[in-house]
Amino acid sequence: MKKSVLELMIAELSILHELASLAFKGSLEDFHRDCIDLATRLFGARRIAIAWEDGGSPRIAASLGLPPGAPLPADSQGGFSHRFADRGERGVLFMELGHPVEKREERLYAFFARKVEDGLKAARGAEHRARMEREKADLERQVLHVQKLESLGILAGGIAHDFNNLLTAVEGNLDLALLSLGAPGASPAAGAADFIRQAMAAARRAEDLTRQMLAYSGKGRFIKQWVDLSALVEENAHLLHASLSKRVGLTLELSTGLPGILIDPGQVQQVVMNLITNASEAIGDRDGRVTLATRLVHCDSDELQGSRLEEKPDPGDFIALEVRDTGVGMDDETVRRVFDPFFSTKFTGRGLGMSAVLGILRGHQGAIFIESGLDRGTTVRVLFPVLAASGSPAEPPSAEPERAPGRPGATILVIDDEEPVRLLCRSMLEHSGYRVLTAADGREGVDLLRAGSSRVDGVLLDLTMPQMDGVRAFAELRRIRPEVKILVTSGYSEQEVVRQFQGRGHEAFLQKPFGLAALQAALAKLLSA
Amino acid sequence: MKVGVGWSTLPSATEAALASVERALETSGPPALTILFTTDAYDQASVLDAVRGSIGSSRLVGFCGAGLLTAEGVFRQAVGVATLSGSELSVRTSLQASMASDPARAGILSAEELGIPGEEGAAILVLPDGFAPGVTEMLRSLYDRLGPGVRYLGGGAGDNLRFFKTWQFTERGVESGAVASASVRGAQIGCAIGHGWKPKGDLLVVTRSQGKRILELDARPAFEVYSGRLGGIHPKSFPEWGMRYPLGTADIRGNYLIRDPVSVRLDQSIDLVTEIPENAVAHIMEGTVDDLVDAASLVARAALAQVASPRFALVFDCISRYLYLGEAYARELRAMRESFGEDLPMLGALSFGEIGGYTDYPQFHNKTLAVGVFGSGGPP
Repeated sequence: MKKSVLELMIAELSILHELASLAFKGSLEDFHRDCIDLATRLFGARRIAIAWEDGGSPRIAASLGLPPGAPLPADSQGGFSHRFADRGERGVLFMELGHPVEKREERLYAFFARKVEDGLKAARGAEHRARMEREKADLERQVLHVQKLESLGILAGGIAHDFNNLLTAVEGNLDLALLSLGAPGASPAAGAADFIRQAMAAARRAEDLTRQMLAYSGKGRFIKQWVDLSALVEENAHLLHASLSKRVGLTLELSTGLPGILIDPGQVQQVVMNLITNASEAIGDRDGRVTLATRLVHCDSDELQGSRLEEKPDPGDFIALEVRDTGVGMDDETVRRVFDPFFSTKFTGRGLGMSAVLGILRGHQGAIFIESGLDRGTTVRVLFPVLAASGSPAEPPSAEPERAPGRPGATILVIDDEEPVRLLCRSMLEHSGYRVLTAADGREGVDLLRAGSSRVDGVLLDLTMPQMDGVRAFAELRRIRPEVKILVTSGYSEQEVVRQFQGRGHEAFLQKPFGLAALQAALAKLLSA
Repeated sequence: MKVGVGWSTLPSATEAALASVERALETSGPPALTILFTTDAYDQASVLDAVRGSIGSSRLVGFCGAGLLTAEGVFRQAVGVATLSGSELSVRTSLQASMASDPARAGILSAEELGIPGEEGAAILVLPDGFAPGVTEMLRSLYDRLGPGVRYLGGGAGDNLRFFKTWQFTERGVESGAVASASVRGAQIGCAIGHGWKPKGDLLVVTRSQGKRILELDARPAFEVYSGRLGGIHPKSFPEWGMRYPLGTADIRGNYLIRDPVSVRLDQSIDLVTEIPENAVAHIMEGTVDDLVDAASLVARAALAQVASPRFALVFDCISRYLYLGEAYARELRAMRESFGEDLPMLGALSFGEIGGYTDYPQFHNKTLAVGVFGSGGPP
């Protein structure tokens, strides 16, 4: 059924128009399908194949009407083929038309072939980019892993370094105390007391360090209460001023009437001090200014994605605490590593400063942002969530444990795998008038109670032990003597202990390290309950 | 090859089936292939049972259409049977119920049952549910397996414009919403397709479509554009306009694949009988009675010209052409008869979509006529 020239021209125009829209739109499978659809519908192609030649026989990516092993359509009569190169491979489009190609049709086939080529190149480009992205992401993961290992190494080295210093002070002072006590003709009491006080001071600094480490891990002990952050900063203003160098001025931009936030004031003070100290040190010996601001802000999830904490808080209202300095600023690499434990740009490192800040914010479900550039200063902004049931700021609890009389003559079973701790507890308890039994692990403690249960009035139970840990020992002790009083002790925070007990409630907890007074008070409270 | 054709308009399914098949068998003798067409007023299983009881081991393929085409005219309620016999004939059939749920798989399974990949010379009769959304996809996967060496011919089953349910048959049974197919070897088979519709006005780009639904033409609501091109039409009269002015997409030789618009929705999208791809460039088509009748004659002659010794003409003509031509449809039928020759037995159905190709690649057409002429002597 022969067509007129006009009819053929109209058809060609339609085909050109339709071919113009052929493009790779994100799915290679869809693009192949579109190519085959057009080749059959517009050109009546009997067979079509899109193949890649990389040296050997063609690798067919898409085809129609081509049984496995059949020769490619270009080998047959009435074929059209188009070859091109892309990224080291030769692409081929084959079409078997079943009729000779007419002159007027050639440009349409050529246009189709060019569109197919463009689409395939775009698809491979997209695939290449996606592969590069995946490889980059893999590489970044590997780098991050190496950095984490490196961080762990720095962390371990830093802890060892700081503890060794502190232990040197403890051990050396105790040696001197012993010497002074044994020295003939010396005035033992006065000399020994000084040395012991020095040892105690070193021990307390070690205690500070462990508290910072717990804060870094986000498992520190938080005593949260409703606090007005502006008021908290203002109360500590004199301390903040004192921590700055003399050439650095401090400006406070504190909003009034902020909603109370549920925070641990002590921990947040530590955050403020760390940020202020860093800001001051960034200014160094030059003249400069540190600005500390508080305000109420609203953040959506997009903004919160920029937080340097992995866990992002839910969108909502936050109290922002912002510390800006006019210091030297940091390059991107330094900004990236600023939260690594024991990482410091200063020769004399400050231990866990910024990583402890990170841990404290993690424990408060907060967020932290840092903006810096060389010679542009640094701005650190931390966010604390404003909870729906916001309460009124409260008075902080007393930090000193109550002195209690205890129950002289009562028998306490001490279960702790650390011999020094066990011996110390025995000494402190005997000094306080208690009778003491000791066990080196949970299993031994349970056996002791079972053997002489009626004699035991209370148990001092460590949480982390071999053989039988504190949680299991607790359950066994209670099974043998349901009414026995048990005081759980641990170097972990009480929150962590609660988590480990998973609702099988312990009745009292004493945080390690503890001194004589704290032990006496805790036992007195336990036994009188 | 011997061919018998019989039909009956008796109201009883069994009686109509028996009358048809017995008349066909009188001429053909025991058949290798039985082609069965019904209309939806009959109990389909009863028709099939009666025919199967008479044809022995013959393979059977068929469907329910909107009417029966015979040498004596069109019957909107009738059973028609064609029986083809001859030791040279080899027939396989397939009935795939997965047509509605997975048309591509239905095509693959059909191909596996019908033939050998890359085979030359066979003819494939394809009778899918004409309402199913994936006929084009089914055809593509069928063709992908069997290739261009075989001829494809067929039509979509329907239910006399109730658009409720369609039936397909093989000797194995009756299914609804399926695709029935048969491969025939040992005969010459000429196939042709055509319609007579011509493009009217400028081209239109299907800028947004979903399957059988056009949402936008030229980036505007489909009905607004369609109506504007025709000088403004009321949505209520759309079916009549759609019947007179279908859409068509051109191929490189100036042949048009027709798409039949059937209804307009409140959002001004237009529903077609068959899917149209997004970004397709279409024309509004028009055709006079003479154009359509002339096309029928040309199609019949083209199919006939491919066969040396014609024995039987099988016709799939779109129900929409029948409705559009009205009384003039008799001219279309007469034009075919005159082209075939008065002595050549013929049987056909009013179909919901027609299967065939301007080239070796088969497509699912609307408002088109597909003709197959069976001749003796094996493939040309």
